[in-house]
Amino acid sequence: MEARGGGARGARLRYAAAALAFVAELIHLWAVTQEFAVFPTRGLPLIPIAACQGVLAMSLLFGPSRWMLGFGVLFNLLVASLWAFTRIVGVPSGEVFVRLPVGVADLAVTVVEIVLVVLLVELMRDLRRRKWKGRQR
Amino acid sequence: MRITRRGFLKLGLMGAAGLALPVGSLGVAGARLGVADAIASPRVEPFGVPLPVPPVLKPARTDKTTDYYEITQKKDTAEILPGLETEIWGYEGIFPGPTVEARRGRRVVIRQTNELAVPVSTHLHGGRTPPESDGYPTDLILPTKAENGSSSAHSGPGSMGENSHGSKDYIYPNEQRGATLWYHDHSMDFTGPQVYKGLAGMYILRDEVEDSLPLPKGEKEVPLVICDRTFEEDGSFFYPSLDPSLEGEPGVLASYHTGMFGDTILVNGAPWPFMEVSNTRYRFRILNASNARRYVLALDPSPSGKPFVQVGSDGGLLDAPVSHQRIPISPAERFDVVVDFSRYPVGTKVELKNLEEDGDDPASRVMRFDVVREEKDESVVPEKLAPALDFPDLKEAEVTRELRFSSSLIGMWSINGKPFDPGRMDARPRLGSTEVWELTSNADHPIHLHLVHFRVISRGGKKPLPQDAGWKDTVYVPSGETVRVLARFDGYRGRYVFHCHNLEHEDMMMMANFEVV
Repeated sequence: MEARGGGARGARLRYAAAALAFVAELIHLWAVTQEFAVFPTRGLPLIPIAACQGVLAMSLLFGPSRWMLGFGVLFNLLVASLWAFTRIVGVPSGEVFVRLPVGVADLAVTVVEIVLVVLLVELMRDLRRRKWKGRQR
Repeated sequence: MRITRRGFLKLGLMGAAGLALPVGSLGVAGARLGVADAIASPRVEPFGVPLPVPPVLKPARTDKTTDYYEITQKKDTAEILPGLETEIWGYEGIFPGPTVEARRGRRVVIRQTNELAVPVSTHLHGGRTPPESDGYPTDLILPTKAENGSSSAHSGPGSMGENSHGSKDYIYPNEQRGATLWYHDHSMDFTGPQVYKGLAGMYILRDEVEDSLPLPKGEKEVPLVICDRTFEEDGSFFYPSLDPSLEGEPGVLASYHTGMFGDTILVNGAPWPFMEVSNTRYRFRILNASNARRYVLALDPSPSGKPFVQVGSDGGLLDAPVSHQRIPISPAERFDVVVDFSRYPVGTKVELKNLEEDGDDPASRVMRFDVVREEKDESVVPEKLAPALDFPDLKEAEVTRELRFSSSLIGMWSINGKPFDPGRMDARPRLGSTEVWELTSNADHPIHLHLVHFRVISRGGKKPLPQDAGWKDTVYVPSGETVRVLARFDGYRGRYVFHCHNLEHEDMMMMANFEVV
């Protein structure tokens, strides 16, 4: 079942979520251009993240499946957790972990991703409510 | 299967967002690197300018025990390439900085004043210096105009004390043997770009042993500060900093991860200069002040026999001269050599070449000596130069430390798998103790220990090479080789660093602490 429709509130939620996912993609892509120039292995992992955010954003525009919403929640939680891990524990460098600095862009995109998770959860609940109502009818 | 207009639009947008945009961003990143890689210096005809010699700095005052100097680190411009102006950061605003001449047993105090926009730290390379004057990377002199604190990227944890504001007095006891030393910037994360902009100069420590030798003196004793730079079209230095202001993110573009190799060779700040010489002996104190480039110096034409007679190394005079056909010199190493131009007829033009590069590479040429006149030569290279060097005995070694120099997945360089951390102590040699350090690397690294001099005792399990002779403070460790050195940790208690002297490696964390306890 797709989350398309669902009234004006549902549509607003979807478009807001799509916009956030797209913003997250753009920030990650900007980071690719910066990090790749520092060292390729620092930029390359950001490409699949950006690509997934882009696919999620477009999918949200057209009414995502429940599966896609679930994927969006888990994926964004994972990305936000990875960000926290690399800033609290670090990334492996030789035999130790090196903490990455907290920058404006990475902090901003993490906030975007957390808000996106909230919207996606709300969309899932909305979908479940509509499904339940449909059964009652 | 039928595709609706809506389905087509959805697939198209997903493809654009999921594939085209990411690929495009990679293209932008690649283009950024490509632009930097394509920069080539304006063409300069080699051997068109005479070799300059850095001026000797005069002390501001002296007393019974001490010579006091004042050096201001500031921006200025220099005509390095003919007809173009280059902004430099220089000690006293010149590049290379003025030469400091010191005497063994006489203290030197240098007041370094920082009129640059960024923090600095000055290291006397090869100096046996108390820790507070050694130029620890986080012992910074903040700019004169700075308020409290320092610019963010330059401050670091674990500084030995308060940062200095505006100026700092560095105290050099000069209780070591006479030697060719040099001073240069050593600030945390930014040593590479700041030395590249010009913060380097010679420090010649003389003693009575050297005075008594009939080696070439006066105008026939010449410092040769060799380095490589790349210039933009307008004459400015090109350095691939991530943040060219040097106030933000440290580091260089990925394609310069292995080091900054310039396409123009400078000697004493002049591109491929020439020097007119008589048909006599000359003493050259050669310093490789390049960030990353190693040279294999040779004379062309080469006279019969070995043309370079080495009389001194990093740590001062050898006990006996060593003759070389070629001189391999890695960043920060010094070779004190005598060349006898009487082997050439007057009128010969003798090129100093760099055999490390192919003949058509501009970096394969260094400078030229033009033998232009005959002169009587009273200098001699005696068979015995200095009393037998007081090397420690291998049997005295209390500890053997294994140190692996390697790179990491995220572009940092490390020692024993650990990038530099000012707050972590990596070795604690006892004051007066002798240790063997086994240096192994997965790439070519010139390794420098602060405070101590050492003897190279083996290379790859074999005897050291002729160029390893004498006391050293920097040793070239080629990829895959283990070099064992023997050092006595005397002089001062306190915290020092050892690191790779490829300055881009150093800035990208190939450094570690040791504390003499």
